[in-house]
Amino acid sequence: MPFVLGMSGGATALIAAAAAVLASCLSWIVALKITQRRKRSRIYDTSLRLGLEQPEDDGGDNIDLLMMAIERSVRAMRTESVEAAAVNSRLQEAMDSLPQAVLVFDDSASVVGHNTAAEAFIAARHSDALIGAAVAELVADALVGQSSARTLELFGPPRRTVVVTTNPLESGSGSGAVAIIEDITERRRLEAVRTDFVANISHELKTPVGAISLLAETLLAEDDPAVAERLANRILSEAIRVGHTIEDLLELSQIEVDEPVEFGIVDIGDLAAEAADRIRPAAEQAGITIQVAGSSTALSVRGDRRQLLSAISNLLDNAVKYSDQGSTVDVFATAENSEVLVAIVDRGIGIPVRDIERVFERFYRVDQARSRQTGGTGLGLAIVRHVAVNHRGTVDIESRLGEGSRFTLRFPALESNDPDASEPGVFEPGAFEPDQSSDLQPERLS
Amino acid sequence: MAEQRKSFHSELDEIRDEIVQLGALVSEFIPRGTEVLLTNDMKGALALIEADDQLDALTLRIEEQCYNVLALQQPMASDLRSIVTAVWLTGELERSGDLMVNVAKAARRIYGATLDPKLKGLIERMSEEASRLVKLSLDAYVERNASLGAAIDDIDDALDAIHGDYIEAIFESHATHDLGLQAAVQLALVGRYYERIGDHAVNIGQRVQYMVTGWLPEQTGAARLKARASFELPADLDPPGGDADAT
Amino acid sequence: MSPAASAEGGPLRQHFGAELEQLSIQVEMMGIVVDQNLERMLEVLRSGNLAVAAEAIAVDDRIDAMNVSLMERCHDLLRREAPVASDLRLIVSALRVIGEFERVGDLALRVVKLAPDFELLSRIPRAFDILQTMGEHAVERYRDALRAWSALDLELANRVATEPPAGIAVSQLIESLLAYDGEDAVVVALRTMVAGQALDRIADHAAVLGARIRYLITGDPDHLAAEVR
Repeated sequence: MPFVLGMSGGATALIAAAAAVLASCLSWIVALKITQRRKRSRIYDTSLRLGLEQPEDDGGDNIDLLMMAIERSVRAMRTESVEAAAVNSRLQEAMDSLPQAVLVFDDSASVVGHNTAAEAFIAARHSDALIGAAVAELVADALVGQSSARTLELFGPPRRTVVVTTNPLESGSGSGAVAIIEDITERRRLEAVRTDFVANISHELKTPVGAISLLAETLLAEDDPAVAERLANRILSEAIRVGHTIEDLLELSQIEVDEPVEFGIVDIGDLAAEAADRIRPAAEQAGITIQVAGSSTALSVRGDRRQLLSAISNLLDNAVKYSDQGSTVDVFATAENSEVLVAIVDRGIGIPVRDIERVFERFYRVDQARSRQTGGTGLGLAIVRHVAVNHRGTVDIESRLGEGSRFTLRFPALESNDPDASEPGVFEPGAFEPDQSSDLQPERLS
Repeated sequence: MAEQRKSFHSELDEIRDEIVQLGALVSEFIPRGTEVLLTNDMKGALALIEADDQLDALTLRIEEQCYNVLALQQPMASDLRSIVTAVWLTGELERSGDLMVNVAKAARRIYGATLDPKLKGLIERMSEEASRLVKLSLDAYVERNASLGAAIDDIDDALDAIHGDYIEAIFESHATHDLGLQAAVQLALVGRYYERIGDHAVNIGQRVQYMVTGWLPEQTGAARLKARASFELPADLDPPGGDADAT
Repeated sequence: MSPAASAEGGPLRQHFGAELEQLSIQVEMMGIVVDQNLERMLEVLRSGNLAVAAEAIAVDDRIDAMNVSLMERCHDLLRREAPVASDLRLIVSALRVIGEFERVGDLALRVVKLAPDFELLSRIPRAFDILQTMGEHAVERYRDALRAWSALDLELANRVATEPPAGIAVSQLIESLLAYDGEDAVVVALRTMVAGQALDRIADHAAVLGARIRYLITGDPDHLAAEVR
């Protein structure tokens, strides 16, 4: 009879062995009368191996006690192993819920455990293969007891910043290592947004204010009326500039506010036409034609008319600003599936690939020099994005340097049988965390 | 024997993984080099030129490994093709990496020149196409997908077409005197580098076809038979230039 | 697995040696066929001769066939003989060399296929001149590489491998194209650049051949590294 208990097997092996022990014990009892002495000593041996308390061998009754003890012990072991399995699967489930990839290695650097997020790095290709290679390298260090971390900048696409951390594992049987892979792209981006915003807002506000006070000082000391007029005009234009910035900031903060907004039924086609009419005079002056291709049917959405108009106007304003003289800006308003969309298409300078992700940030500028000339506040696209979020919509960009850009706003269409269709409703924009809404990340569609 | 086969196959897997890694390094090089060029990033250019050493070292390591496997094992037909294909792929990938180093060097030469948006856009597109082709060729290799390998030749046509537009744009830009002669020359060379990366990807696709099927793409059945026959007798290798169709 | 061949001794080994010798000669033969197509390419480049172009296109099929046949032969040798050390190097080098030959042949064909556009290629005298020079230079380098293979000439192989690439000629070519402002400037430039690129790459392949042959002769992996330029 093989007793494998002394060896450190898995829980299952333990149960199997114990069950075998029990079964054989029971059969021995039947055979007790025949070879009592010998069997009894073997039962004592068994109980010894199971680590049970040893009653005195009285030649009879104590054997029953011993048998009961063995039975109890087997039952306890079975429960323990079921519990261990439950703990294991719970741990695995917890690991699987981590956004980071976790891989556990044994002392020969083979993967012995990993969570769901780590699957991407096993037998990986392309840039994931480079992360895999970095893991392999750092795990080698960890197996000789050294923790390490490495940051990888990957160009992809998509561009990613990934941190690989490895630590030695000493407990359990033999040494091992754990590797953690974390994608910090978004965190990095948000940090950049924050620091750039502070830097930009002080630039956008301080520069004109500084200019105004300097110009005013000069004006106070100026006697020549012609020079004074020139100075006053410059003060005026700087004041207008800073005024625009402040207006846009106010509008943006209003749109961002988490208070319920009064929503009504708005026809996007009408809004697009209205926005185009507003900007047409300025566009024509710059030699740019605006064409609106509307829809014959109503394109109703539920929303805030003022906000939606501001979003479309901002996009049109940009399109005109970055178009070349003599070119055309097209506005399309259509319904598609259960969405209403407005696309503003220009044939202007376009946006570099690396900037596309960031243009919706407040004050983000692709080209500082050019935006100074065109005189935008750098807030227009941030406003557009927030309006889209507030309306459960999205905005995305297709753009190519030198060919032009297409901005598309999409909103859920109002269903004709919507019971609220006839009356304005209240909508809670705070339900969407504007800055984290991932579906809002602008994407470039080739 | 069984044991030996097993370790042999794990060596083959290792070679494949390293090729994947080499390919990943190369396909990273492409957007990276393009960004260096488009943003006038001199530090980035230097870093990329230096990073090429890593690529070269890996290339040599894989090739040595292939030699070792060939010397120590007696691979069977299909395994043999895999190893020989690996040797080929290292060459193709390594040269693709060198081409991006050339792009970084060109970036240094045109430092300060302003490229108009159209040129930049076309460079971005060539870069994206080139990197897509490299990735697809590696997919074909890892998946042992002969038809994908064959398709890369057709997909490469898109890159060639963009390259044509690009040359035209350089002419335009140069003719309007926005773009100086030296910069125009360098940019024309740059376009050529992307195009060549595409060619290398096509070559990889062909090698993959061969690895999987044992056939080179240009070989029709008849040509293959003919080729076989032509080497049965060494005498057949009469001074070429005689009738090419003699066999 | 230790090489079984050593135990099998004499006659078999000798036979293998003869096979390798034959392989080496056949590779050289393929190289010569490619060389002759390069000569046709130069002729097409000089004159735009369509008949010569057609001939070159026909011969290229033969080059492809030789490539396939020699590849199979190399694989067969690798499989049957499990060669070691220098023999292994020879066979793998032969594989690489025939591949390079085949590429050179393809590139020559790219130029040859421009024959119908000869008028465009010769539109700008300076560009036409540069093309001729590039063509001659590329073919010369290829011939050096071929000689290095047949004679296993280390010095020659080394020279071909290390000669600086002809990038300057390509730059000059592009300059001459940009200087031309005829109506057909773009199409002239595109055709001429196809030819220029192909010629430049033939020279590149010759350099790769040089490095391969150098490695074959010395067995020094550093000499392989030189290919990695």
